[in-house]
Amino acid sequence: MEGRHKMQPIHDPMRKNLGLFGAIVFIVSESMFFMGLFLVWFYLRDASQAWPPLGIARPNIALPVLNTVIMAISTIAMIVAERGVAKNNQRALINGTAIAAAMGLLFMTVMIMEFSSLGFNPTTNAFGSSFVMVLVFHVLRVFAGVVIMGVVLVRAFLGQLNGSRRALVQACAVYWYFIASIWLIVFYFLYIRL
Amino acid sequence: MASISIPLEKRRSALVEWLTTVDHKKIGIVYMGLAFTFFIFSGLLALAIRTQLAAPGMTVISQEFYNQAFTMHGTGMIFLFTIPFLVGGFGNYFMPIQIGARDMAFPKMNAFSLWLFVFAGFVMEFGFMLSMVANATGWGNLGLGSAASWNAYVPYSTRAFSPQAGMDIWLIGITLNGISGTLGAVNILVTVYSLRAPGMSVWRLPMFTWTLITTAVMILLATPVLTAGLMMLTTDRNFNTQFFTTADPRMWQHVFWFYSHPAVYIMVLPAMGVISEILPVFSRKPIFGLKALMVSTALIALLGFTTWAHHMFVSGVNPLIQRFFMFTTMLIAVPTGVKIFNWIFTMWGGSLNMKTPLMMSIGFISTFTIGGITGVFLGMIPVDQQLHNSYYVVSHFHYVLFGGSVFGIFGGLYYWLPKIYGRMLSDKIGKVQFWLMLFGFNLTFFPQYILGLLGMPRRIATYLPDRGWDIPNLLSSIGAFTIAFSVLLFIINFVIYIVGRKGEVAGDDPWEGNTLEWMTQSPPPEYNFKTIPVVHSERPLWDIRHANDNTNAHGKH
Amino acid sequence: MLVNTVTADAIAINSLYNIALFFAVIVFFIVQGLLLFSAYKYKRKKADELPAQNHGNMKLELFWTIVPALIVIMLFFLSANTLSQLSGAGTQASPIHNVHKIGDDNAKRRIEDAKRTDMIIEISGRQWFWQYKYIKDGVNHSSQNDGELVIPEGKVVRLDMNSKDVLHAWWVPSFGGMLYVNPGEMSYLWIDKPPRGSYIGQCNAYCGLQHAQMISRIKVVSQAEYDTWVKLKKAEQGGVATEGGNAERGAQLYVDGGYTYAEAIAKGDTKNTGLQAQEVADLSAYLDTLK
Ligand SMILES: [Cu+2]
Ligand SMILES: [Cu+2]
Repeated sequence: MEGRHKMQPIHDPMRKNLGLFGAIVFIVSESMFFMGLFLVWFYLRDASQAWPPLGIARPNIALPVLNTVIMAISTIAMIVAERGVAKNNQRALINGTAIAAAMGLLFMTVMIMEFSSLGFNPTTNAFGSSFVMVLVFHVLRVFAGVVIMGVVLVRAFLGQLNGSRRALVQACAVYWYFIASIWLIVFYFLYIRL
Repeated sequence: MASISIPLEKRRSALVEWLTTVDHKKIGIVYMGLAFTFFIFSGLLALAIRTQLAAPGMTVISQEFYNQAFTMHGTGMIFLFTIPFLVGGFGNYFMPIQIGARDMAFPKMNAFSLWLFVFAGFVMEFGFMLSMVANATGWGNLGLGSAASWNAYVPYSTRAFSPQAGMDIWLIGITLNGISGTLGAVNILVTVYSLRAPGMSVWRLPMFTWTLITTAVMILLATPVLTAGLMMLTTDRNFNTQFFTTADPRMWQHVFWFYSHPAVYIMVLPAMGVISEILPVFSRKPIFGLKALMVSTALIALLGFTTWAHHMFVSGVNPLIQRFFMFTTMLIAVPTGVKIFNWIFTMWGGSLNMKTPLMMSIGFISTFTIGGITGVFLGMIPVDQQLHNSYYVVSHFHYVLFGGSVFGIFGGLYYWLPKIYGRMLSDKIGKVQFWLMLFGFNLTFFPQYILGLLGMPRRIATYLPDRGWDIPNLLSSIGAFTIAFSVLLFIINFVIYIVGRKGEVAGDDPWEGNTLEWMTQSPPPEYNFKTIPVVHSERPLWDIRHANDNTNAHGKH
Repeated sequence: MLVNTVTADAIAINSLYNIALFFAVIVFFIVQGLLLFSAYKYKRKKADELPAQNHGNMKLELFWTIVPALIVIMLFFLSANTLSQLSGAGTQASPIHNVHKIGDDNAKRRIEDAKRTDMIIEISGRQWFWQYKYIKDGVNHSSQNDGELVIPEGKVVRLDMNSKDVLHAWWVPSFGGMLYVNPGEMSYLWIDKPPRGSYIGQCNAYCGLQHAQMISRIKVVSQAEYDTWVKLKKAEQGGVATEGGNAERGAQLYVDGGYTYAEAIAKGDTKNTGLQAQEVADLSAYLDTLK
């Protein structure tokens, strides 16, 4: 305390965006983690004669398609929330975030159903390990996104977010768009291009 | 930032204050203190290794302990000393001050990184130490240490060949350490991007800060890939996944070296930054070719991501791919050479203040050059086919990482400790330490080049007397103890002159520094600067000191 | 290089090393010379002296960028050139990949065409010894108890290497070159017409507790001595290897099929190998000789 009144305040516009910029940098590192998982996927694929290996049924595409729809709705809801907060529209912020979070939870539920419907598991072979690992980390990522949305919701209810204080919403939204794009890549390589 | 200062009114004990601090300077000090402790510990393991190898057929330590010792020596030096000391210690303490900020962008996350690092380090070393004690006292083998070497090649590191829990502990420790480092890198990048003082454009960034940014970028891009690999190995061992059971052994090697080659630059670039700070200050001259130095730093970081498979020239990688990696590896010598010449020409024509920090920097240039040159040898595939995994390699990377990073760290300590504690270290002891360390270092590692050429593989616990390796090994062991003695001198210096307050009072700017850390008090107040300074060149303090000179204060070439 | 280099491969690597060393020594003396000179010459003489504030010199900087670049590019081409001179390396344009998965027949064929070979020795790396199998002569022993790998002088010997457990690496410095020995894969090295003498090598990939004891002793002898040694070894093994043609045909099959067949037979499951009954019998006979 002693020192605090001695120091002069800083008027720095950059400070407000710390959270957003932090989220973007963090996303870069997460993409590299994701790339690590996928490098292993491709390495294993190129080294094996058949992919999926013989005797492994191709996973059903129904649930992932459903999840793609869920993810799309969720992304739209997040866009609504982000636009809303910029215009000081608290209802759009709260409703949008709530729908996005609910869709996130639904996505996780569908994914858990998907795990139990797969004809293989991570201990079956390298294909199974790699397939499930990518999905599990995606579910964890979605979970993290939902937790952040929870924080956004709490702070929105407390009235702490508005047009001039919205770095948290922006960071949350950027992270959620990142998750959605990763899901498209996952969906493409693990299901469509399999 | 409500978190900057802790209310003194509450009179919390000093311990609680250190444990809960979010001040970048305190966090930096804890990083440095802890990393230095790991340095001592890993160094003692090196002494055990060198004692065992001093003569053929020695059985000072058991083969089993030897294998754990070199594993933990390497892991400790890399993950618990060099990286956290330079990035977590120097980086945390000095980068915000150098750019005129009052703290890191995310002080709480900074504290979280620190304590995650502490926890990871504890996890990694504690099991090993327990095993060591259990072995020595005859309680039997607890199996809590890893003995798979720091690169943990599969299949040796899988459950089938390393069933002991120590391997899992090691994996978890490295993973957590990596997460801590990644968060730290995010923090560094956001801080430099957002919190620079007015006027501090890219080309005016201090060299240490610049190298720290490039390092942070490398950590950010490389570490998560290793983390992914570590997690796969961990699940293979514990949950029966099959990543490494059917894949060829090179898959792990690719993942591992994709991180671990850049890790070399993560360890050495900030040290290069440190000496790039010291040289112009002690030469009373601007750094020679600032832009070339900055660009070459970035180039090294960039090229550093394209050379990893040079560690796999004898692993069975496709030969055409090998040639690509040979090319990139040899190319990286060019920006490295640029740096060396720029440093020398910073001194050239200067007015050299021959104090310990400058001597350590000269030691850095001298020894690092040898490490760099022998790196080119190892980058040539045919030569690597002969010398891969030999003592030649051991010597090469010690010339880079000890001759580079450790000399840089000690240079940085002599340079910056007066700022941190407000008192000077003894320059006399410093110089004795420098000469002993330089002599001991070359005595330890130069014979190892010869051992490599004589065909001695690394990671062997003992050797036969008929190989002609006796004398170089003995010299090397004597050298290792000389280094240990020189480090002891540093500790004595620190204890007497800083802890014991025998050192001269440093004042704000004992060296006629150039960068903003010398503008504030020693030690700096919690908020670093009363008013945020405005920067007009890459040497803001020089500008202030020479504001009234009409001659060559700002002279251009 | 400080070891006694005896084969063409080792000599080629050695001369490449020496060329690089020549440039390295020059660079070393220039750098250390400049460093020591400036450290000595420009010591501060007066407390207030102010040297010229020079920020750089484009020409100089270009010079020390371009010259080292030229040196390393030259070393790159010299290395590529040496690389293609080494045994079994193939040509510059299509170098031969000397490691392949067990059972990859195409890769194996390329290895067979890579270099004319006089004899093949199969080497298995194990924790912590090397197992040697002389394919043609039917001798079978290991590096345990100082067992030597005996080879006749002046022959081109191909080492067909595989690991039964973790990674190992074969390295005999005097012959030049080293290669990892991997489980599930075959690695090939050649010993090109070695002269008589005793040589020593050591496993060079950390493989666990007794890695330091995984030593390989090689003895190159005259053809006559070698023949006697083979006879003695066979006598030690009970002489079975010379009985009947079955084992010999089996040996050939074994060379062709590598470990895949052998393992199938050892497991008693030959259905998926595509072997005829006669071939199974031949192989079994051969495998018996190895016991
Ligand atoms: Cu490397
Ligand atoms: Cu070994």
